[in-house]
Amino acid sequence: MNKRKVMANGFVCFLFAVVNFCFVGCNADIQEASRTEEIFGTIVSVKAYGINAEEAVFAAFNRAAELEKIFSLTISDSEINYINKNAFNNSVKVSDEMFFLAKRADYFSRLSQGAFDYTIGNLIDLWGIGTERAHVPNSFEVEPFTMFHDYENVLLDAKKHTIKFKTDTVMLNFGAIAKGYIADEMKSEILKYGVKNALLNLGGNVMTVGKKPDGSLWKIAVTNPFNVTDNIVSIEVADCSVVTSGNYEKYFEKDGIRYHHILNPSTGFPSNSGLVSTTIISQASVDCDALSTATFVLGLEKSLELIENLNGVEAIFISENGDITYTSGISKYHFKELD
Amino acid sequence: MNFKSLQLIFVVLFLIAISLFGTYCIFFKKTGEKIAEIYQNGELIYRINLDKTNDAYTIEIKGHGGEINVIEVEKGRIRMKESNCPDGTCMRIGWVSDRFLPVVCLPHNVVIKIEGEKNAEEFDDKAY
Repeated sequence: MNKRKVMANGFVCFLFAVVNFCFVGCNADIQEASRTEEIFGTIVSVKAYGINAEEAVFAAFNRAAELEKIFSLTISDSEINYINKNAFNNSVKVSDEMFFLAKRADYFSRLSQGAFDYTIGNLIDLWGIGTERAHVPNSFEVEPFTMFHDYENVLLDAKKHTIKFKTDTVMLNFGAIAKGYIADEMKSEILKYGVKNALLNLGGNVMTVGKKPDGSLWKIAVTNPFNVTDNIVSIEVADCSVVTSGNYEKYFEKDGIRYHHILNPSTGFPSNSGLVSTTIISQASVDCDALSTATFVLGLEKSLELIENLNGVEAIFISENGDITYTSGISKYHFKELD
Repeated sequence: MNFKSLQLIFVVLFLIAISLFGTYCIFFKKTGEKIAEIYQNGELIYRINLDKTNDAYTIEIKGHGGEINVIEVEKGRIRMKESNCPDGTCMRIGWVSDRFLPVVCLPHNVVIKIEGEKNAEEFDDKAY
């Protein structure tokens, strides 16, 4: 009898093990945290997998909200608005985040010789693309903001941590780089929680943490600029960011002409370089973001030269005639043209 | 009927239950139907199965400040047909049929998302 009882108990234990296994097997799918919110005027969504995923996603969004309070032009008491109001002829002490991003933006402005320029806030406001005020300005309205490379009129003092404008035409606008920086910061927040697999999308800027939970690479499609519901190429990445700039993102039409949101700082008008979509792949999303704008304005030839000279950066360029051009290292991302 | 055979029946039933549950997990969890979700001010106000939409129809969403969005639903796809928002970006996105590009009307805080859809060529995300 005793022996039998032991055997029965053993069998029950075995059954429990089977049931548990079944539940765990299903839970491996379910252990996933995701959240979507509007931040910085765009839709931000994060998916994280594994233990602590929930906490990691929460922390990442908290960090994004902190950064929004620094860099958003629509939040009236943001740090950037304070600087824009007070930094002309006056050194303003700034936060670590502000100084870091200004320094990075300054680097890309110089690298691209002004094709990317973080100081053209006035020009962007003048056009108002993406707002109800959107209109085509006169060339004399545009002129004061295109005469100089205004990033050369910003003094960044690394010792004192201050920013100062030498001319009153300068207005900081991190619209072409802040989303990238926020993606980097959200990712490092997620990594702090030991999460090894996550996928972030900030208004079309993709950032990946590690590989997919099943160990394969993240498969990322790039929007077809000629038909935005369709995809034109795909790549496979791990621990990388993929950022695309396109003429289809924000624009308005006047007299049959499309005016898109990527302005050429030296003409003061929407960029007309022959490129309609530029995609940058690199580890740092802040670099991807700035370079996708810079290359969009620079045009194909100069952009190829620029990107080939940078380590760890690859690019895909789509011209207005439909040609797809890519940099020499793209094959490591399993680049594929889709039909 | 003795204790032993009762035990046996119990065990057999249990095994059947487990295998049914396992089958459910494997086969039914991931077959996504195309579900469109419409949010207003962050709140889910409509959930529409686009696969089961046979006849096209429109939905009108009104805001407190006179905001009007008209959403058109067809089999497998959805779009912002009309909107009295200042920029009209939401209408220009056109028809959407996958989960990558949400239709967003920022001025009116109306969002259309598609969930549960899997492409034949499966992508994890889309850069735009």
